[in-house]
Amino acid sequence: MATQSDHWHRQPDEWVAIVDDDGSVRTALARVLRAEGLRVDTFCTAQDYLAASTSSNAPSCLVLDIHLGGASRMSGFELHDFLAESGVAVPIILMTAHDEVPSADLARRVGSDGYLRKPFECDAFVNLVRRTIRATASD
Amino acid sequence: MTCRGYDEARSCPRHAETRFAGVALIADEGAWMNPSDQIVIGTRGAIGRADASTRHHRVALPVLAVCVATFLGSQFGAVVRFPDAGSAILFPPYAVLTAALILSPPSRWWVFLFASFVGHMLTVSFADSLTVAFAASTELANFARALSIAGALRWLKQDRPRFDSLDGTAVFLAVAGLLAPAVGATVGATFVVSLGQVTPGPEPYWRIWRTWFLSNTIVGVTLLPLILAVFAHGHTFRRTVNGKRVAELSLLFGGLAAVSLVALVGSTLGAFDLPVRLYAPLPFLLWAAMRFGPATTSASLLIVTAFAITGVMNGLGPFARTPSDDGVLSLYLFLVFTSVPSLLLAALMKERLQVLAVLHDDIAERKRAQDALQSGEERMALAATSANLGFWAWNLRTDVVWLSDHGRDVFGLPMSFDPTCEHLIARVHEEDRQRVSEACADAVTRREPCEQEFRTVRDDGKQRWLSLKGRLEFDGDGIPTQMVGVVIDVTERKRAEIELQDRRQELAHLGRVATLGQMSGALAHELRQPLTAIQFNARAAQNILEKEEPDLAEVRAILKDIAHDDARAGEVIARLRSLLKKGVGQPTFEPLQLSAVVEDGLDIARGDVMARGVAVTTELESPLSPVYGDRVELQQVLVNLVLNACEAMGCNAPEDRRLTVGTTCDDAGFVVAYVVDRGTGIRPDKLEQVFEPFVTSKPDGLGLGLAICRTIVNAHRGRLWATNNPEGGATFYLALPPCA
Repeated sequence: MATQSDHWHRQPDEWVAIVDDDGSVRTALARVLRAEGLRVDTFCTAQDYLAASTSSNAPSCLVLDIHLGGASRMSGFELHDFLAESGVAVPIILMTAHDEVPSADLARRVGSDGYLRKPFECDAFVNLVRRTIRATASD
Repeated sequence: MTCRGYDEARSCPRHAETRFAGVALIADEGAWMNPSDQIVIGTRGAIGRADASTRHHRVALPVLAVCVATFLGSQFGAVVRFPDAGSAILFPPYAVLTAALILSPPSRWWVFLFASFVGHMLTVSFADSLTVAFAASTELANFARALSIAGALRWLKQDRPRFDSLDGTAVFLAVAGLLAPAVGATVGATFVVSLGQVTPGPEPYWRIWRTWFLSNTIVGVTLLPLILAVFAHGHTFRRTVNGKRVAELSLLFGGLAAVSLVALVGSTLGAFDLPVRLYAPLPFLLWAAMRFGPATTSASLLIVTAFAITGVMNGLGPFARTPSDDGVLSLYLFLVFTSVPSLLLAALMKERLQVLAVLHDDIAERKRAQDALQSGEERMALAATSANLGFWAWNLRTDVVWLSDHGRDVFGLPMSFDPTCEHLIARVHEEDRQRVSEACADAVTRREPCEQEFRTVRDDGKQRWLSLKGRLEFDGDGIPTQMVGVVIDVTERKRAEIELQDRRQELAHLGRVATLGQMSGALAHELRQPLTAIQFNARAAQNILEKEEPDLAEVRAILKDIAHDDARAGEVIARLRSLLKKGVGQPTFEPLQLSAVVEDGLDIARGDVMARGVAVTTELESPLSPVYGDRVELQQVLVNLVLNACEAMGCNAPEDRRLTVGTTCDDAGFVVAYVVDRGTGIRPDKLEQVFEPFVTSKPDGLGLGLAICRTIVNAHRGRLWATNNPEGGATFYLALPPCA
């Protein structure tokens, strides 16, 4: 599957994983974060992400789109809930391009600051990622 | 009108029919001037149809009548004799037997011959002067006369004597007044001479022959036609002759009798005795011939004959001579020369009157036809005007177009102007002009009917819609000479059609707007994805370029991605625009591949389908017959069906949200698109109801989507319907007729 792990080895503590089924969005987000000096890996599906990550090797921040295309695929919510139930503590930023997804659903999972509705500002995104990483590091 | 033959007359209800010993006597009731003198006699009896007793009855009576008449006639002949020679001046049995033979089929002649013989023989027992041998010989002469006349008439195909034609009368007179008397005289004179019953004098044979001949001629031209006429129309006489005619006839006979009494029996009339006496009956005979006809003329001649004979037998009148026999002979000649022209004149008059009657009928018939035509034309013109219909005829040789008044009105042409085809084409709206011109030319070239609808522009600039139909007419060589047809002003209908079409298009447009509203979330998603990517790629490129050694290869890749995402967003907007297109007032129908329309529809609905996590399988057949339709409206129908199907599967497990969309061709040649879902299906009693307005299962729906879809499909002359699948869910079908 479309997995990019060119910066996997460099800074394990500032590793960002992006899961989005839209290739353009995935690549563009990754480019910006890399330009910020972050190590970024991108995944098309939740399953791809789960295959690449382990409990001992979790990203500092998981950027997760809610709609992951395909009826049989795991959605962003499902991955979030799965990780939470598995006891894997990964800071997650949820994204959606759909107006219909209730903010309450998003906030219940990641807090009122932890989600973004597309299209969002570049700076807002970078700041949110950095804030999340810092929060992880301070933990 | 007179029926020319027995068979014809039998089938004609206007004719009465009398049977006489198996002989049908038919008299015309409908004679134009004097029906009583119309005589048509048939001899093909229909005796076989009668039962035996009736048949015997019908034969016995005439036979008896002939027998009695012969007896009485012979008695009469025995009394009315030449004063000197002793032979009968007038011998009625000849007329009786001849009439019986003429009126009966040859197979029955022997009966009448026998009856006549018996009647004649009975005479012998009452008259002492007659010997059996003499009576027998005169009867044989009588047979010879009667048989020769009946036989000759049959041989000449005149077995139905016609006294209403000059030819028929001439033939009858030749046979009855010349041939038969000659035969009878020859046979009779031979017997009389051989029996030695000759009065003294020179040339006994020829003297006898001459008296017999003339005597029989008189009977043949007077009594015989009268008997035939009486049997032919006697039964209709009372019905067809009115009081006025009877009075005239009485006057005729009375006057003739009086004149004959004075002229032929009375004493001398002075210096002008002879011419006055001879010509006195003539006016009455002419009267009879001109006003009544052959039968009455015969009767009149008989009156003259009776008085003349009375005169000569009593030595009175113009024919009183010495010896008396010479007087009788001159009387005969007078009667012959009077009778023959009178009868011929009567026949000629009858013939002329019949021709006139036929002409009169023809003229009356033609007048009726003309009246009918004229009133038909008037009615047609009235109906045509009421129906807003104009007639036209385009002469292909002169190019001039004739138009009815209403046709001119429809084209807005002045009444005095005879337009050519070019003039009319020039009045057609410029957008339609070429099409109409080509259609007319094509119709002539291909020899096909022409049918066109087009706009015309009147002199005041107003537009009218006309519908024109025409077909070619050809000459004897198959070359088209003109095109004729009708033209009708359909402006009002067209206006209503266009208005209806506009309303429908507006409704369809509203439907699309509603669909877009329904799809707005998915469309927004589809736009937000590329917009987000573009924004982030632009920022990334900026960041790279701000470095001291920018990675230009990466920047190029980023720019390429930006261009790609921009195109993606552009496509979404284009789809949006196509659905929002209004298209009111424009003809938007074109030949389409339904499979391509289905693919477009799936593209439009893709965002929504994906958002709902529905997996789509397509079964598109290609190529199919093209259909004639509006691309956007048909896409709209497909999008509606797909979105409805996705919604129907909203409660399904993710793996059960499967949609099948396909196209095919049905047995009737219709092109069909189908959308199969795995939802909950439709209640059987609602399968048709779902297409009605405001019928919806959605809490927030208006229930107009499928109603609008059906309106669209109906406008495409297609069908839209739904069925439930055996394995669950519903299938919606859209069937469209293929392009002609």
